[in-house]
Formats: sequence, C-alpha cells, structure tokens
Amino acid sequence: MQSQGIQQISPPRPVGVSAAEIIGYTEDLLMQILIHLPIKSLGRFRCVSKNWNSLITHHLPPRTHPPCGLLLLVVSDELLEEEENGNYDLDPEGYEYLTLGTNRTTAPFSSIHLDDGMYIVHSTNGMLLFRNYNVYYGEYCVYSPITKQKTILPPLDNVLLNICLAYDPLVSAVDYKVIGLRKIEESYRHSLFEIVIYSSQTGLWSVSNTRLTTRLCRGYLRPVYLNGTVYWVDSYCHSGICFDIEGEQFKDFLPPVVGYGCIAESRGHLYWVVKKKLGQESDDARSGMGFDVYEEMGTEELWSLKYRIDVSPIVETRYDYQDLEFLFVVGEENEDDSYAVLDNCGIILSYNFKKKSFKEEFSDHCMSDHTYLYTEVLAFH
Amino acid sequence: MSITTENNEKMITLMSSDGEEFVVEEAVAAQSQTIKHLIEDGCSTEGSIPLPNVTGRVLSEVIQYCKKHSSSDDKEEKELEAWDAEFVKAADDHVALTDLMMAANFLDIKGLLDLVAQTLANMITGKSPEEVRRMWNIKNDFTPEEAEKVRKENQWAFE
Repeated sequence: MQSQGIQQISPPRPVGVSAAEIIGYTEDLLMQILIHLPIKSLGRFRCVSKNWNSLITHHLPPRTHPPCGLLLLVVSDELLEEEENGNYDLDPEGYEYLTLGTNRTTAPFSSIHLDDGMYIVHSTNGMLLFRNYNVYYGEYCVYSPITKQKTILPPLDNVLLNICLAYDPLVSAVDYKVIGLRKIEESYRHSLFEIVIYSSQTGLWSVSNTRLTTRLCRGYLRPVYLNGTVYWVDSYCHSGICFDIEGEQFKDFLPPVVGYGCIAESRGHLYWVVKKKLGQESDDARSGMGFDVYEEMGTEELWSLKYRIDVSPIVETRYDYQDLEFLFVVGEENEDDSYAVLDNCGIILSYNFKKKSFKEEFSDHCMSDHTYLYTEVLAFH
Repeated sequence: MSITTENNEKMITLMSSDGEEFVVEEAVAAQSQTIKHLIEDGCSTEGSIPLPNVTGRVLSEVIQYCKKHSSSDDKEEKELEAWDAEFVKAADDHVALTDLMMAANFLDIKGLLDLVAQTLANMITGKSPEEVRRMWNIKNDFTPEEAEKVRKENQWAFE
C-alpha cells in the first residue's frame, strides 16, 4: 500500500482534474481513510459506489484499534437503597458503555436499553447473547448492537448451566453458534455433562453425542470462546474443560498454576490469571498481593508467565485485596498499551502492564457479575 | 552543487510542478522517503529535485510539516500533537486536505499521510453516501435495483 521508493511515481495529474476527484477512485488512498472510520459509517458508505462497496466488504483489513469497552449494569443509589431494604428485585434500565483503551474516540453506542427481564449472559467479538429471565428455562436472544439485529433462539426444554456465544466474524460475518453446557447427572464426586448447540445456519438446537464426566464443580463461570473452542473454568475447583465445536470433542483444561483464577482471551491469545494468596511469597503479606497472568504458547499446553500485577500500591491506599477481582485482559496492537481490567465491588480499574499503573475507569457502582467486555471485529463479507 | 549553511547542514532544492523552488535542509526533506531515495540514488546532484506531482502551494505546507517534525523530539509529543491539529485545521477544506494527502502519498511521508487520512475520516464520519459522492465527485454506478439492495442490507447504518 505504501509506495516504495521512486517506482510508484504516478504521472502528472491531467489538467482540469482535481485531486479531490482522483482520491475517490484511488484505492490505496481511500483505504487509508476508510481504516479510520467507525463501523456505522462504513455500513453507510457501502452505498457510495460499487468500488467503495467492494473495498469495504472485501479488502478492509481487520481493525488494529477495535473499539473496546465494557458493558456495565449501573446500579443507581435508589436501587441500592431498595436492595438494602431487602428488596432484591434490582431492575436497572440498561447497560452503559464504558470506553476503554487507547482509541477512545469511537464508542460504537452509548448504552443498550433492556426489555424487562433481559440480561446479557455472554459477549464475543461485538455480538451479544441475552437471556430473558422471565421465561422458564430461559429464552435466549442473539443481538448485534451495531446492526440492531435480534434473533430469538427456539425454546429449550431444560435449564442450562452455562452458555457461550461462538462468533468469529473473521471466519464468518453472519454465522455463529451458541454452545450450552448442561449438567445431566450429579453424584457425590462427579458430574455428567452434555452439550447443546444452536446453529444460526439451521436455526435449531441439537444435542451433541459427546458427554463428559468430570469432577463436581459448583458451576462454571465466564466461558471464553477462542478459535473454535469454548473454555469453561471453575475458579473454585481450579480446573476446567474445553469443547472443540467442530469436532464435538471434550478435553480437560489444565491450568498451568493451580489457584483461584479465571480464564481470559484477547487478540487470539488465551490467558490464565491467578490471584495470589496472601503471604504466598514472603512473610510480608502485602508484597505477595496481585495477579499472575499466564499466556498459552501454541497448542501444546505450554504456558509462560506473561505479566505480574502487583496490587500492593492500590491496596495500601484505598482498596481491599479480598474484594479485588480480575475481569479481562485487553491486548492492544502496540503491546505497551495492553492492559487488564479489574473490579473492586463494582468500581472498575484498568492496569497498564507496561507502565504498571492503575486507573479508576468507573467509580459509581455497577454490578460486577454483569460486566461484559465488548470488542468489535469489523466484518462485512 | 549543494549549498551548506552556517551549521554545516546540507541544503537541497525542491522544485514544484509549477516551477517554484524551495531550499531546505536535507534532514527536513529526507522525511519524505521518496526524496530520501532520490538523494541516495544521486538524483540531487543536478542542483534541484523536481516534484512533478506537487504544486508550490501544497509543497510549502508539506515542508512546514517536515520542518516541525524534524526539529521536535519525543519529549514534545503533546505539543506536536497540538501543532498537527492546528496544521490540518489550517488546510481548511476537503479539497486542500485531499491535495495534501496525495502529496504525502507521493512523497511517502507516513506521519503526514496518517494525519491527513484521519482528518478526512473525521470529516466524513457522519456524512451520507450522497454527500461523500459530491465531495469527491464519485459516480453512483449502482443500478436502481442494486442500490436498493445494498441500501436495504445496510439499513442499520442509517438509523
């Protein structure tokens, strides 16, 4: 795209044709402009001409700075009061979008209004999965906040333990699967699980033939979808399972270090994050406070300790270590800008890995269990 | 023949498409990869480098940018950002910016190209397809049926 040396000197411009006329047709230059546009403008500009449509649809590279933010259920003071009065029926109005990262100019939307009883249960690559809690067994709905397209999935005849939206626009812009984990038997030591899969192509749920018996878990939290595989990890029993969607195969997921942890994904990398126990490394309890972030290297279950987050500077001043939870890893194109998202009882913090600096991103109260990462992948094909 | 200044800086002469000459320090001109390669290939020994695609008006703006960016170091990043913002603001309209972008592309000055591209992108972000067509004189070559189809597919982007 960039000109190399003098080879690309173009002939002088014909008399009477302005640069402005040429640029609309010069693909190299147009592309330079298009890469800076938000997805909504790009959708509109597909209507400019055939050439623009084709450039935007087929040739625009994946975003190096995708919009990145959190979807927060903000709890108003009134609602908090109600809760204190014993009324647990919190019914906030919707999710607020909190912009994160280096490219803070392009919030794709400001908030998502909720229908009664609807909550986000999973978010992948700019697509959201809602559950309607007013419907028995849960009614699920896939929603794109950009195109505002909403698909209600057919009803299920049994309750799911956990659900994951498997959507990768770089593989297909329109197709996705929804993977449900269901516990069908539970004994003293082990549980038997099965998988149900919804495919957007068939519009139906199907039950996978593969079942899995594994150690009893209190429940898998925050599934992560990456490269055709869904990962479920239980922070209490320190192990997990993963499910290869294409091959319909279960595998055990073995974290590199056992501990109170969670799994995270960013820019195609898988992370295992462990919260250190107090006094683990030295007698001075504070020096052992923090999170270790391991990154998976390739497929051989090799892990390396990628980042260490020392939280002692902020714990000394205003936060309680017990309340600090790890939420997300966000990799940026320039690794120096990569950061983690932490939660302290509804207060959201970011931590820059390189600068080792914390920043309070959101200081009102949100419901941390209902916080989802939103990153958008550009795809029109 | 090349001229040197009191500081012993090597000077070179750039000539615009309309024959205007600009004498600049080599370090300033070499921010353009195209010019840098021309110098390395010995094309500047004749005295001046002709730039047949860039008018004097545009070239003087480009030189302004290169001067500022060759004299600043990293510490002044904030100040430089503010300067850049003023610089593109002075370019005023999309025609001037487009001229500047063509020149930055031809001269291969990545920083300037990115700056102008981002400015133009900001300028068109909220515009309609019709406005963009008018801005850059682009012909709507969809048939009415195709136009309706593509409009329907992207209805979400108009709401």
